[in-house]
Amino acid sequence: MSLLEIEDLTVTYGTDDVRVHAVNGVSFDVEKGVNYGLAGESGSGKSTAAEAILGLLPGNGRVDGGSVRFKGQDLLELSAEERRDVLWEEIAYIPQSAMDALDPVMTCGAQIRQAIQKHRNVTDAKARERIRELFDIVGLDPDRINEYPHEFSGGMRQRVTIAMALALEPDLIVADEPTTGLDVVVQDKIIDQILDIQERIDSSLLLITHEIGVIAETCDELSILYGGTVMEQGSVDNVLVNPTHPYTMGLKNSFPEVEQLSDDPVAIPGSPPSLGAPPTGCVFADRCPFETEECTAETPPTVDLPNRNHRSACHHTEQAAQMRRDAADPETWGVDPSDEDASATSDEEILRVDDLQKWYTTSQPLLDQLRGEDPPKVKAVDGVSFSLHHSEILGVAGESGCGKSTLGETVAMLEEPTGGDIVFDGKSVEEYKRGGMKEFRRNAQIIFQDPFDSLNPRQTVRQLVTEPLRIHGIAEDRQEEKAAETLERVGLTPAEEFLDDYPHELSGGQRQRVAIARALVLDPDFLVCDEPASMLDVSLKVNLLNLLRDLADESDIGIIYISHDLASLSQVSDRLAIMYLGRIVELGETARIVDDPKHPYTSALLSAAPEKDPTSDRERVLLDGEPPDPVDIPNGCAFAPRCPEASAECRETEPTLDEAGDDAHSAACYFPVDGTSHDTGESGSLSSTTADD
Amino acid sequence: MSTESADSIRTRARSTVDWLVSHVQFVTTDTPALAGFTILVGFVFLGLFGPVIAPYDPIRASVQNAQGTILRLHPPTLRAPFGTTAYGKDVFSQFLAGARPTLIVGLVGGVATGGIGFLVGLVSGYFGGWVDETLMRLTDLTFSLPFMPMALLLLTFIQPNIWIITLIIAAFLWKMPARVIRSEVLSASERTFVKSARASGAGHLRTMFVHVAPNVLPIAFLYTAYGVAWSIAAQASLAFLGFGDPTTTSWGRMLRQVFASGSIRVAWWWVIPPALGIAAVTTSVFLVGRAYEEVINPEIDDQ
Repeated sequence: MSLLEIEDLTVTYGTDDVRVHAVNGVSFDVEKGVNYGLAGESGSGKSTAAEAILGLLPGNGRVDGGSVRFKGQDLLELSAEERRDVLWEEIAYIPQSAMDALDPVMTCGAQIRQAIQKHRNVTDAKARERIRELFDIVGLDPDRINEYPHEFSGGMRQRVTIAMALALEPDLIVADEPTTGLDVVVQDKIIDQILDIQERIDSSLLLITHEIGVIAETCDELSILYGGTVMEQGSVDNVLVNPTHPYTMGLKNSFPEVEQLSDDPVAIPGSPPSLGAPPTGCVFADRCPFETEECTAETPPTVDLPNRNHRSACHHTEQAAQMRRDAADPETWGVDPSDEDASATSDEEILRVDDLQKWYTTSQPLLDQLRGEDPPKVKAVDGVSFSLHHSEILGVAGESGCGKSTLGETVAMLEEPTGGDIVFDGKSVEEYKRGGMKEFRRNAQIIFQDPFDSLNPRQTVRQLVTEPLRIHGIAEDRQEEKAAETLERVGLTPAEEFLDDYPHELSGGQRQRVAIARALVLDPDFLVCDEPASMLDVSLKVNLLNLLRDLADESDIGIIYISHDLASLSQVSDRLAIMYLGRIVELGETARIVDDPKHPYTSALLSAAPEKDPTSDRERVLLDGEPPDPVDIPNGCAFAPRCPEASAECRETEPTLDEAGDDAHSAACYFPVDGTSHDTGESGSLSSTTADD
Repeated sequence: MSTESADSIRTRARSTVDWLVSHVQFVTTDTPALAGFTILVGFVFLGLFGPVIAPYDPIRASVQNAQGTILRLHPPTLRAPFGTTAYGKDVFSQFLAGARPTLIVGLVGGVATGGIGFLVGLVSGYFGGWVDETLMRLTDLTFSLPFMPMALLLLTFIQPNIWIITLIIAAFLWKMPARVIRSEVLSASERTFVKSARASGAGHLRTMFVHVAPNVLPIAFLYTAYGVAWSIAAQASLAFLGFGDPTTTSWGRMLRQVFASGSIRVAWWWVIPPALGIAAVTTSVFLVGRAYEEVINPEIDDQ
């Protein structure tokens, strides 16, 4: 008997007009001591399935059929009280956003104690001991149990929720996107922690995530969901290495990886199905390149593949090998492979940034103010210099809080720089500020992170896209035509269908395209993209990256692409800039940085990116500690306190960007990492100050 | 070209109408709101035509019986369906005529309250800094002055008429919407599309009125509706205390007269119509307002 047996689970949501069939007959088993992954894009029903298991469905959700057996007991038949006993005692839950999952007015320790004492009759002292133990297990300092959630960073708060989940040694932990929203370095630490805990206590884990890489690294078995249906399930090694379902192939091939620069990424065309009616036929059929008549006519049964732990719901599993070969080719998915020659950047400079500074003043105590002391400054951007050419994409990477978004907004003149200079199109911004700001705004555009918030909800797409034209008084008699043209250029065809829609009627990917159309309608020379893909599903992300690449190549636009996702950055950028605490620590051609990172921080970032191939065994470079407080940056190299290579010299004087490397690739480090491996252990002798390739 | 622009004007007009309709449609789905809306429609009708359909002149004419004697403090009869006052005037006619000043003060006072509050809140929240500081201290000042004593003091020196009273009410009530709208504007201005508008070169006026204002407008509507209710209540209170316009009949003034005549415990037919009128109208405004509050967000509306 398995620990958790889900059989034919069906969940629907009631809305005003229709019932949405979110989960349609999902079955899977989680064995004792096994890490099980539920993967899928947004709307695939993975979170709904988890909520149904936990009995946490929202009021309009209803389980219409199937059973959820935990140790042979049907959880769906329990009363609310019986369920409360099972929850946490035997099934613990790690919710998605660690930031909001903890009560801000209770200390972390008290919250865990509450969970313990609710179920166990133990003394405060005993509970306290257990909490210290738990903090130790998840890698937090046991002396900090009396601190409040706001005193911990995001990654540490996520650890507290994990500690809380472990408190009663449950047999099953359900984790809903435990690493989403965390930086790649922190994510890597959490994954490492989960694996470590797995070894120490013998509980099972049900991991729900859209990141195949995370599953590949942590799970033993998985199910891939699409449209509320299982597409493929089985052992991670079989499913991800030799997928037999076209959807798995598409998903896997579109997941960007740092090391595959040469491969063209694949994007699954179309958008997820609307589930207004129970699906007939294969739900993936209308996006599938291998679709036949049989697929739309008949729902494919989930069939066992012989001799291995692997099941697939596809009519064409016998042709899997051929499909796998075809699926690796982007043309199968309707993506034109980019023309390598076209991506050559021109020599003409569009933007030059010199020693740019953006310091924010923070509040200080009244006494210090009276004493006339300088208020403390947050150095969000501190002496950044780079240049950008026409049709070049410069990727800016770094952890959250490193100042990359501030850099983007300062360069786009949404924030006033506190020092340094920006030269745009041969003219300093000081000149633009003396009356030419409109000209600057016309030629420099910015695209923001959140497509759900960057469009005015009370304007139609028509108004949104023509507004910049109206502001600048361009093409007055043919604004609409121009708007339609731009919409089609960003892939919203036919444009007429979208012109009268309001933003909330569009999907996330469509909204982000409208935001891009709004920026492009003025034919700018320069575009700042601030994490434009971070809220999009993986196949939409690839679409967006391809679109930006095409824009840079065909329209001669210079693009600054800001992201924490090094994998997608390395696919789209010509050059990369790695930022740490307001400074660029490494700058150079993408291929050279990825193959041969010189700064220890870069190599740590690169090694932290998860890989989708479960058989590859990457080495983890776990950085110690957290980035220091930006108000109180240590002397010398800002990275020194976390750097495995740091010496006394690093802590005293700050290395400049030309410390290591050459014109095409430079790093601000006295002891650059040597060689092509990511292993920082053996490099860093004093003699390698000027590394040669 | 001209047909094209006519077309675009037509589509724009149609979309505005659609938008308005979509904002009023909520009334039909919510029973209390529908009841409130019906009462308000009746009230507006009374305000417009009340004096015309009144059987007697509310102040000059006295109700007489067949013998020609004036009926004083008479319970409802066929000649005076709501009874008569201590002076022999028809309560029904006074009730009908009294709706007009109530409507005027309510409507003008409410719109002025909402309007001033909206502008102050918008400017204050959008610009921040010293503009915000100045306007908000001014708001604090009006908060610190008690409404009733101040209004009574002012009306002691000024000959009250309906417009002066409306003005005083608006001057004291704008602070509520101003505060609420300022905080809404503060959060709306933080949203990315405002930044995006600035990035595409939009000026302050455009950003403020095209991007920020429409997103706080529903709240302004709501507070305008509440302003109507507050104004009606304030005007009735002032009139009841004897500081109303002496030349017109209003519901508040009717209550004042029944109180002054000393027959408030006896003449239920004189008390109930104005009291019920005020209560029904203010309650209706709040009922409609509450239902509107639920549909204020188009994103929620569509789910």
